[in-house]
Amino acid sequence: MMHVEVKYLWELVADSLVIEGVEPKEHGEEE
Amino acid sequence: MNAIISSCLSEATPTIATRLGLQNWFKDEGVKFLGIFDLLKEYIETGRVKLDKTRHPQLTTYHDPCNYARKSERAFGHGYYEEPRWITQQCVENFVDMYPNRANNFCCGAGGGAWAMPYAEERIYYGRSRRNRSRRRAPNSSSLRATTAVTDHEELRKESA
Repeated sequence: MMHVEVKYLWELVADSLVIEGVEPKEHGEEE
Repeated sequence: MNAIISSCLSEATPTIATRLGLQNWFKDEGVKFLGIFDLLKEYIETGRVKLDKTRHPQLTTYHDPCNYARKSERAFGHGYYEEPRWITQQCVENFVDMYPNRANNFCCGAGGGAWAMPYAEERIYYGRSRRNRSRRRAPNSSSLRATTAVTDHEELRKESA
């Protein structure tokens, strides 16, 4: 069975956010 | 809630973003009520929130939750069908709708936190249409090839975890 990732809409928005001077982090990456 | 209303009234432009319907209980407070989708859409449209859709190249679909969609339409006269789709499309490169969708979307059976309750059999019975659809094979349906499903339904996300 194909795996489908389910994301909360706000989580998707947060993961897509562009903030000047801040590089996007991969999931699970340490702060 | 009254405390929140009071604190908002102290603002120069009192605005509250919430699920639609709150205005029915606070009609004469002089507060502008917005659905949370409306506020986010406005922020994206005006550039206050910037999004990079290249981070999500995979085929993505959207699940309409009953409460924000058809139940909101029935109770308050506006169902949030298009706004969350538009927001999703600002975040992903490839979007496709499931079928059926919007007001005809199948209930997942987990609404109102029912997934965490002890009535598993009743919940699964209520969500049987959703379960059957996920089992059905439809090679021409591009939504079945989607690798990401987006929802504003917290229970569905937990249920799938």
